[in-house]
Amino acid sequence: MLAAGLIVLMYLVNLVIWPEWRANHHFVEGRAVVIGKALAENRETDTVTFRPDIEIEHLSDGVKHRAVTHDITRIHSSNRSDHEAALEQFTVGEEYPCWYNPADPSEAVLVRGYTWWMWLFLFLPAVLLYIGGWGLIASAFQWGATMERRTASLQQARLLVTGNLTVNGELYPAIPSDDNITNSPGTHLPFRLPINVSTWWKLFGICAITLIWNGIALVFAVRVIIGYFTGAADFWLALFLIPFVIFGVLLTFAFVHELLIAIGVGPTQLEISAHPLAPGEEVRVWISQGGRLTLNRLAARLVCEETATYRQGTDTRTETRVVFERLLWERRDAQILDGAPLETEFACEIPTGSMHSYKGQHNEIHWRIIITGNIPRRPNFERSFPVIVYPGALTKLI
Amino acid sequence: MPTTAIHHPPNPFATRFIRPGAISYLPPITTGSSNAALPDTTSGSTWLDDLLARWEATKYRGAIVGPHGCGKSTLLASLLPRLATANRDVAAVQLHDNERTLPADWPPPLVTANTILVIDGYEQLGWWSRWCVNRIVRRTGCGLIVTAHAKGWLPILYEVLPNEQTFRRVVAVLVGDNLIIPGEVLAEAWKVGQENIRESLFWLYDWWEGR
Amino acid sequence: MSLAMNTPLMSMTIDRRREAYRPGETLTGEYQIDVVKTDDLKAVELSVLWYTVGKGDEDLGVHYFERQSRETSFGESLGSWRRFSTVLPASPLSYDGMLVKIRWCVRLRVFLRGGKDFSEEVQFQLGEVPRPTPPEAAKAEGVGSNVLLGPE
Repeated sequence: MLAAGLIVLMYLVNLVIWPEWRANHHFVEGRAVVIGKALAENRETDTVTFRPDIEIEHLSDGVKHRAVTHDITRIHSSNRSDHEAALEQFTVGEEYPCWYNPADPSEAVLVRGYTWWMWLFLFLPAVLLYIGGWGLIASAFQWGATMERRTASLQQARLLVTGNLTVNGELYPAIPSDDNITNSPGTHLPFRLPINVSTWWKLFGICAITLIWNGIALVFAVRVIIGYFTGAADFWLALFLIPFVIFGVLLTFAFVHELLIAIGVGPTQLEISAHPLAPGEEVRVWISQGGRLTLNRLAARLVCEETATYRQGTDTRTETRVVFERLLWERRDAQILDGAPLETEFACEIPTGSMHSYKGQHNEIHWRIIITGNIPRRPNFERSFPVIVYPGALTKLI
Repeated sequence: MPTTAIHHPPNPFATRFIRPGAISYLPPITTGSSNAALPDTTSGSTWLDDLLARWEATKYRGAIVGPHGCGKSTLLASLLPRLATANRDVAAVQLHDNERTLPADWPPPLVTANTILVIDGYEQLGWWSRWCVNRIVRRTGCGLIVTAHAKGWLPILYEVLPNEQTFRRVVAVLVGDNLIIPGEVLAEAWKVGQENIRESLFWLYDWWEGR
Repeated sequence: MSLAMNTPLMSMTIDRRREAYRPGETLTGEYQIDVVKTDDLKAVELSVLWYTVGKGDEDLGVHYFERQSRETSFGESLGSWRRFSTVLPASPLSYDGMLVKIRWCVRLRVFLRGGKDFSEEVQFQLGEVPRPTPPEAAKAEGVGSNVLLGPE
């Protein structure tokens, strides 16, 4: 990226910036007579481009010099009318001020100034240089550096940029941000928690995969069937298709399963009286379960899980383990009617001495409130609401 | 007083102790095995010396092959310091799952005949990246060592074959002399891991936490 | 402590190491480097950091870092005890979980001319988070805090 930025910058400097700067600061003023003028065309590409060519004659140290010129950049462009207007400003035989290079008087111009819109292009190489340059500096600085030094430098850079060592501020390093959780006010309690994975997105994903997979399998299946009825049965193709058809059927079942959950089970909402949470502190939780369904059991539980990810070679293994689980509330044999969601409020306490939430690049400790519904003769559903737990009252800053 | 974190002895099967480079590769003890790539150690040289000699004989190109979790990356980690001290520039890269192309900054811009390219996870690369690597090797004459699950076009430098004896030796190195893990536990770990040493060690991690 | 030919002798102590530190408290200690000439020394780094241990790859966070090198001068004689202190943060706390454990330590690294480096590490505890008892084990043992409670 650094190299790309340098190349673009060098091109712009060479083409426009440096010549204009020289013409504006180093050229000497003189008087020139216009000998001829024409609109030059460039047909090298598919688009015809133009520029004004004005032939002049001027004196420098008593010596006559001729030049074909207008401005210093001599760039062709497709704007014909602008260039024709520029030509109209000069009359053959008349004298006009000109500016010439004292080191090479044959280099002269009739107009000076800056092509302001070209300078805007500097933004692109500036961005490339900034990003690439930081990368190069970071690499150079970190070469030979220990892991502690690299990490400290990275954290220090973040401190310089944000003023905080972490997204949460300098008080709670390694604890995930709760911005996404506290940005939605509730209607019964102060905060409405976002659901972990939207039911509809999950349904959409499974639907898309099912359609694509079964569509492809169907094309080949139809071919096999037609072949069978026309006496040109392809046994090997049929055999090859079997596992694909089986998988397609399983996908369809999975889609129907999710669809039944989505259309039968209405939205689950959860609101909380305070956030973030802390060990030893109790908060109130309000839930609302919509839909039209009969439930054997609806329950809310508080869960803490550890997740560890290990990458080595082609193996990436992520393991999750529940280290704490507590039932917060449950109701058996509940009936939910359309337009009359089941609503309730209960207490939730993070036990004293519990570990706070943690998020690292490879490991996590996360807390969730999980709502589970058991529906007779239909698939169960589960909705998960992440919460952030900070270090508790016993571990507050002294 | 609550049980504090530093009072618990560390789990010897945590990833920081079993990852490649944390322990040295343990070559099989038995000589004269059917492994055609096993170097001859009767000359008095070390096992690594023989491996490097073999690599030299194959014009500094070779592959370390073996199934998942058998110790290929560990062997490579043991080999790298020897390559670096041989007055050569070593440019190593480790590819993970789904990494089909080489990193943008690898290999380094200046590759010479004195350079050794090391790719851990060579079979992950797509055909274009492999062609690029092979082209660099042909053009510059640099050395190449890769790890792969299966044999390919490169000569086999060494074939790592996991066996229970090696697994037990690795466990002995990890736990040291202070603890002896019961034989039936090791047998169960080996069975659960299905000849994948890494998986067996992860099973032992859980066993250690639960004991 | 390390004791070998051409190996620096590094000594490091943390005050009150046997007790758990609390967030916001000041961690203090001292270190000393001996059996090495200042001319042979390239740099000395002291860091207060945390790292994870367990079944996942290692995460690492540096809370305090200081480096002295030949360019910046080593100050007083290396053989004398040097104090360090830092105010400890609120997180992450030391934790001894199932898959994830978080350890705090003070790490001293000495870099010699010639490329060799040596390190010493002293662990300490931040916070008093007890080891968790997984739900299955809690049910079997009848442990209070983690047992699934009945409805309110």
